[in-house]
Amino acid sequence: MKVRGVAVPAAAVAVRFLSRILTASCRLHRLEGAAHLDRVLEPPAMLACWHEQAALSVLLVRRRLLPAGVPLSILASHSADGELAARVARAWGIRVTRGSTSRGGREAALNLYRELVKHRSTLLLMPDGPRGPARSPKAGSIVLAAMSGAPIVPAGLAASRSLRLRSWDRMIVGAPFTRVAVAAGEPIVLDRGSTDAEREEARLELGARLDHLTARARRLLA
Amino acid sequence: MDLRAAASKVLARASGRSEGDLRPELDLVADLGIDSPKQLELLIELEEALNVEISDEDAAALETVGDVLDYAAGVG
Repeated sequence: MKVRGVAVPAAAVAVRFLSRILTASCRLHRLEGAAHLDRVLEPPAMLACWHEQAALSVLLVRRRLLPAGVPLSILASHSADGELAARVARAWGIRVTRGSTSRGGREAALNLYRELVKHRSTLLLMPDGPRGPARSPKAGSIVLAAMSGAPIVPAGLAASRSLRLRSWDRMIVGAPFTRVAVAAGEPIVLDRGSTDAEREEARLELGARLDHLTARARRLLA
Repeated sequence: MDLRAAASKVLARASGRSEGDLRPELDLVADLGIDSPKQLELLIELEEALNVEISDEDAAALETVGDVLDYAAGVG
């Protein structure tokens, strides 16, 4: 179901309410790689997961990152869905940058860089977002890492009971009282002197780690 | 160093060309091959070299070498 126009504010309130219930009832069943995850509590840093896991990542945000008082930032597209995500995020005190690869992407990425470096935020990064293609990291994520020096901490999330939306990313939404597993991995760190080849290697490595950690999170639920 | 010269150095580094090769009419993407990730790098380095925060509107308008050099000159 698509949410459009005047329905967005009402839908944002509903999503905030539902996500509060869901995150309150969900259980963080297993967390592997907690030491890696703790790195994002020291901004500037980036926590990366596939866009399909964005709704599940709310559990991490509300249970670990917001209570720690870490300044958080996200990117949301200019679409109605992006507006919905932006309203919910702002209500939780998360800073929002708007843009996508097709519209204002370069400027949005520049704003994300400022969030990292000037505001010393932790960026919640979905490297295949905000519009896909799914599970293909964008090069901009790697440029942000190289130019800012901020580490990208990759994570995979899985839920024992969930459904998938009909969105481009087939977003996973956890059912009430579901168990969630998180696997965080070794951060990817680059510097400004990195070559184009090293950055491309890092981009591919980020994708491989996210796939591996997603599979690992699923196994943790078994 | 004046700001136009500083921008010229940033452009040369981003494009891998010598400053002397950077004619004002050259398009950043079509002629210099500065793709989207490189454009982000260029904007970050420009902000640092010029000590400014480039607005979304200004960033979107930077399409040629001349646009970048004129913008830098305007900052001063």
